[in-house]
Amino acid sequence: MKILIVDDTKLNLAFAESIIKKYNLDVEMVFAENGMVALEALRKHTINIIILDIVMPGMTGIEVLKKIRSDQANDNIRILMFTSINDKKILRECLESGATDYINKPIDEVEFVSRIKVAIRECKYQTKIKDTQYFIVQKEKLIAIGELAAGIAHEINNPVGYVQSNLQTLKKYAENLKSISEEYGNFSKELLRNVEDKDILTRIQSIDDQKKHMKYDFIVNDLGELFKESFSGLDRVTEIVQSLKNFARQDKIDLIKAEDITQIMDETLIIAKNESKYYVNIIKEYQEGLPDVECIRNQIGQVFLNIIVNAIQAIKGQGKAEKGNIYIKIYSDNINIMCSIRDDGPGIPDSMKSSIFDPFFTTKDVGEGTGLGLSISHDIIVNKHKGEIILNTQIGQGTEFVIKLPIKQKFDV
Amino acid sequence: MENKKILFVDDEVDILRSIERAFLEEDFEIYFTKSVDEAIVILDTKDIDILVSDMRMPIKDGVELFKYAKKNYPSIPRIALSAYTDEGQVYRLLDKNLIKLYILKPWKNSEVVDIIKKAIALEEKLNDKRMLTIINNIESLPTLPDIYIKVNNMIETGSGLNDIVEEVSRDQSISSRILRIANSGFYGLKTDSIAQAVSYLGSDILKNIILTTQIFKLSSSDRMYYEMIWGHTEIISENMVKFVKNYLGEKPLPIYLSAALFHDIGMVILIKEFKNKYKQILRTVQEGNGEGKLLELEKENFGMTHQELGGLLLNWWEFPYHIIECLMYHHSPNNEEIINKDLVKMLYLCDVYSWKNILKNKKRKIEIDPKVLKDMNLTVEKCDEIFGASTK
Repeated sequence: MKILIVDDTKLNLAFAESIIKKYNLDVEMVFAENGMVALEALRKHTINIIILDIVMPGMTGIEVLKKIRSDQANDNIRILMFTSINDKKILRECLESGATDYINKPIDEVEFVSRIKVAIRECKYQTKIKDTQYFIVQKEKLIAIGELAAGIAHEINNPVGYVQSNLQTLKKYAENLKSISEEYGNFSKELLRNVEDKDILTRIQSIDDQKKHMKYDFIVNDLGELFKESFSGLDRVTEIVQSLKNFARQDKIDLIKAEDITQIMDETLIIAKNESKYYVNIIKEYQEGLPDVECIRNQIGQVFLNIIVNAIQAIKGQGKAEKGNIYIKIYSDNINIMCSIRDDGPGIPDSMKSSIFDPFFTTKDVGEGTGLGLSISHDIIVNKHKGEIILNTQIGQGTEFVIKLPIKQKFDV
Repeated sequence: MENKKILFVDDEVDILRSIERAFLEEDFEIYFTKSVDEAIVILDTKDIDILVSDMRMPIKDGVELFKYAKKNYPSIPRIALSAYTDEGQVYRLLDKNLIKLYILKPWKNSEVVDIIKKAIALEEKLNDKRMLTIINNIESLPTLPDIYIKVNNMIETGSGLNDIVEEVSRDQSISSRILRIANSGFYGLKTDSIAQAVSYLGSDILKNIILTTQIFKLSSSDRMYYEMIWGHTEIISENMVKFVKNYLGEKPLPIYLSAALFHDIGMVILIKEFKNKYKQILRTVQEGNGEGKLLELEKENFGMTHQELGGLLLNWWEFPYHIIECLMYHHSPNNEEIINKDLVKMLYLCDVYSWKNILKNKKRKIEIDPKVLKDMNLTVEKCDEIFGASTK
């Protein structure tokens, strides 16, 4: 938390500093002796609280105040007017122009400290409310999808039902036709050997030419693959319907057990190996003697897998000659366990940071991802496990996800 | 033998056509229609053997069709072919005995054909003339108890909870049974209020509790068996909860409780009918001759086993195949003809382990069918862990 103190009297700045230090207030201080310097400081630092003198040479406090409030980005800054004149009129104008509070000059220690403390507390609440709001919105989105999903799933299952059934029938038909056609083929070969009628021989020759022309041998050989791929496509549709349903489903209760997180991570890495082996080195660092964590095993595995596969794909997408790296670090402070998954891939641009946890947000090509992976992960970690999922990323440097899980779960039964 | 007649109902013609193709090589006489009204005409005019219908249809839906069929042609097995993604929705239809069985979309052709064939085989078994003759000669064969019929009417005519609660509260054994089950690990409720318990259990389970309580009533001289069977039933339902929660990671469905409640109903009737002769058999078996022996002795002495007797009886009362199969096969879970294999195997394990709990201090060794373990991907150690855990 940062506080900006603006006053043209050096003595006031020094006094304010000494009091803040004396009372050990948890703020970093930035000072400015006039309005211009203050506005400059505002651009450079992320300021949470401003103590603003009213009477100053150059820009007055009110002018500075109005300037700050004209920018929406500063809406959350708490501005306390520093006022020596007991002029209610000016103070009123300040409050109407967006000041949050005021502090009297000369400084009375007790008043000064308590007003700043209130401001700090309010700032903290504000952040908390913002976070909560974000989580609520996120959760609402998931619930809405869940409700939608149940309806959509029902609609999808009907056409998928008959397409799948027909495909099974088609496969049977194709196999029958294939075996009959093979018998005809054999028969025509026999005719070629035993018959001398020229007409028949030309007919057979012409059929064989047609066969070649339409790539008959290839078609016959390709049938198996064709069905296999089509069935696996349908299986994927079914899978997506299933995973959508997971948002809504209430009938499953997942088992919360004390689990060895490193073991879950190792299992996940084995699953991801197929994707990873050509593109990345995995560097593991597990703290020794980690405690077991109360969690839902396959859900945590799902989160790890989502993040690791994303990292692999990001690295792969760069198309570099040498392999990328994924660093996995698991450590604990005995209250929480932290799993950091960091890659040296391309990083995530600022413009996308806020939407990566949104359902259906994806940068992958159509058909490559559902865009649900990270939003499901967010739901699992934050809502189901009361943990946190933290994103650190820098363009060109790489991306790190830190999953923070409480070792003991408090469940509302 | 004449070909069986199956009627398929679905508002999507494409579904019907794909089913027609799936049954191309099978010897059935198949009827198709896309409307419930037409389906009713076909039911009225043709001698349909099996009815398979979609649930969600415009104008009149599957529920309406199944209700009509249940009322007018109760012996025709009703099967739902549904695109519901939530199996809970289909289970509610089973709980209400509105359908015998369900198939989910998308389906595998070979499985659907297989299920229909098994349903036909089961129907034949349940309507076996020789067995029906034996059953008809059982004097103490229970009819649906008066209070059951009364409460059922109250539920169907939409009587208030209070009236229903008042009715069941008059019967001491029923109300104490309701409270026991509501407070058991299956529901985990903590209450001494019948009203609360009933509203929590729901009307379907309430009906099944009334039915079993009335049928299980034995003469005072048989008190011991009554306690034994109820105790056994209660442990099984606790075991079901353990299995479903600790192994499958799901919430227990009402149908599991119904399966546990009814599964030994055949034994109760045999005790009532054959009294000392049957008790003698039970004692022989308990002294250490195994369960296979019990079925053998039952067959030898009475012409049918308690499994078959229970299955036939519940079929008579129009229960779904899920429960009927549990009754018929809980001592032979590997039977090839079972449709809902998982449920039967689950009941089998819960049953085996309930005896393990009861006979904890006795020497009788309990063996678990290795094929069941393999099919369910379990080991004896894992089972010990699942059933040894508490229900919390």
